[in-house]
Amino acid sequence: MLSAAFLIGATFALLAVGYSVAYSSMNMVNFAHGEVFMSGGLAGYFVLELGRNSGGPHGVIGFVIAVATGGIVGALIAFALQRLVYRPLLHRDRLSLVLAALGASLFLQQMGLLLLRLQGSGSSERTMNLGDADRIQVLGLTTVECIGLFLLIASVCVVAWLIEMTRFGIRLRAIAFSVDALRRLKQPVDVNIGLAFALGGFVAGAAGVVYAAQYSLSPFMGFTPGIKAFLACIVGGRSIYGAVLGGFAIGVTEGLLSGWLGSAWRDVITAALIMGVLVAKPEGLYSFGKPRTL
Amino acid sequence: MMQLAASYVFFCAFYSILALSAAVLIRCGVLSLAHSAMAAVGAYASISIWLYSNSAPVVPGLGSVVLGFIAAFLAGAVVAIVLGILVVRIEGDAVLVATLLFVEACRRLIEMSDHLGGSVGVAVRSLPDIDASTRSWLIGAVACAGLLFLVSAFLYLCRSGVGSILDTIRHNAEIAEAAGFNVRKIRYVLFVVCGIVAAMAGSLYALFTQYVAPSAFGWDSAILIFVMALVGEKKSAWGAILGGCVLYIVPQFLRLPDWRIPLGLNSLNAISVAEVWPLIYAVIIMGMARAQPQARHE
Repeated sequence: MLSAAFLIGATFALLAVGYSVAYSSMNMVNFAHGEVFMSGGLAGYFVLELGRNSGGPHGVIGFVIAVATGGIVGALIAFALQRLVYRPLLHRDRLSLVLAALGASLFLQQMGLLLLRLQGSGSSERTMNLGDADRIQVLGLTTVECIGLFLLIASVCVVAWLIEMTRFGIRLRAIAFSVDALRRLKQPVDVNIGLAFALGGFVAGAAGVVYAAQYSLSPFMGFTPGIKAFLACIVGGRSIYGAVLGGFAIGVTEGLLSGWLGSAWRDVITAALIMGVLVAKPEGLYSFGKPRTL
Repeated sequence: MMQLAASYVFFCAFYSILALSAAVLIRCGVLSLAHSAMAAVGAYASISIWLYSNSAPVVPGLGSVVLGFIAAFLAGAVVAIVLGILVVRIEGDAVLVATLLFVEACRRLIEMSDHLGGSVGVAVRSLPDIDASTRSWLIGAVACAGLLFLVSAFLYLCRSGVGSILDTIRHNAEIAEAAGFNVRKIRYVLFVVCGIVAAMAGSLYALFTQYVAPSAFGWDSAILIFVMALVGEKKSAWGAILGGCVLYIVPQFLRLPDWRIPLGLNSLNAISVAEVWPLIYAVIIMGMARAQPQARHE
């Protein structure tokens, strides 16, 4: 139960990274981020099915390839969304970004439904065929759990390195502070925001494959984790580290509650907890009154 | 046929009421998606009263209907007062997500409750005993009258200068504060009033359908109502009504003919136009985003 709770925590934390990036760089709630997560899961599923049908890599190697593919597809979709859907709306009313994100979310969800419909009739829910990968255990953890936790640790390290140590990270932090000032300084703002979206998309897409392998794949699987991950980002104080911490805390709480009380009570209690934190500390738990958001 | 027409009239009025209450909140900068949950609160409060009066018919007929409305009003007020505290404390787009989480939590809570029929839903039978078609038209007329009242109240408020105060709050809350308006209080009062309106609309829904299930009030309805509120000119009540009617009627008409789009060579693997509607709807929403006005810089 604890390892499953950790995996849910890792998933929420990875999703929250993308929300934090979108919120900091474009001051928007990227509703479609949950669907980027789902698209990654879908891509991973198709890769595993392809490997199984054509005698290609399967088992642990097949799963690692599926996770990488999920990440790449997630990055491409997030990048395309930013360039084609969100960027043209930057100077419009704030509602336009909300509408665009809701539309993009619904569009990706329905495309996922259509793809699964094309792949085979029946229910839109699928179980990933992992071959022998889910039978191998390391320190009592399944392969899926190991890869999920490794992904979290590696992602946090890479994202922290990118933000703290590279010029890309410096620009991203400056974007979070003032986009207009950076534009006046002729800095490549749009490219950086696009790359930041791609980074969030990669992490979400890879997490989507792990989540779908642990539970099941469905076109609607990204919606609720997406909402919770965004709120985790707010609870965490909108900073990237706060988002990771918030996501991990909410995910682990959810995982434990799910084991003790069942999934319905889990959702109600988590919602009450999140709302309680937001009422008590609307600025988040990890804000420390600092101006920087990334 | 007459009953079908009555159902179109009722649902157009129902969605228009919800879209209008969402539009009022959007106008003062509160992007709430809680309307479907508030409608669920009203619907379930009313239906609980009617179930009670069925098993122990203390207040039969019209009396029980009125009692159901009062229950919806009170339940809506209590939930909106509590939820409003959260909504006015958090800012901007985070309200959207927090209210969406509230919608999901409400749905899960109802699904768990055996008294409210769980995920299957709950039905009532012995409501005022009149002909089904007359009943449908009667409830449709009540819904239209309610909508007319709300539109009149909205237009009156806008002409009295409240509209410009709301616009100022939405575009720059700090300027409104500096001008002496208590922004948080105004938003809170409006949120509670709109919550009560949505709960009353939910009560009418329960009366019309005589069956309430949590699936009717999920996040998809929440987003639909929000989008309806944004169709057309936001400064007028007519935009929300247009959105409510068009976005309800179009998918209904797409369901009528059995148009099918073939997928690949296998003729069995075809999808109906109604199934593709959500995809078209998503593209319409993204198109609407492009049609929004340029941002103001105060």
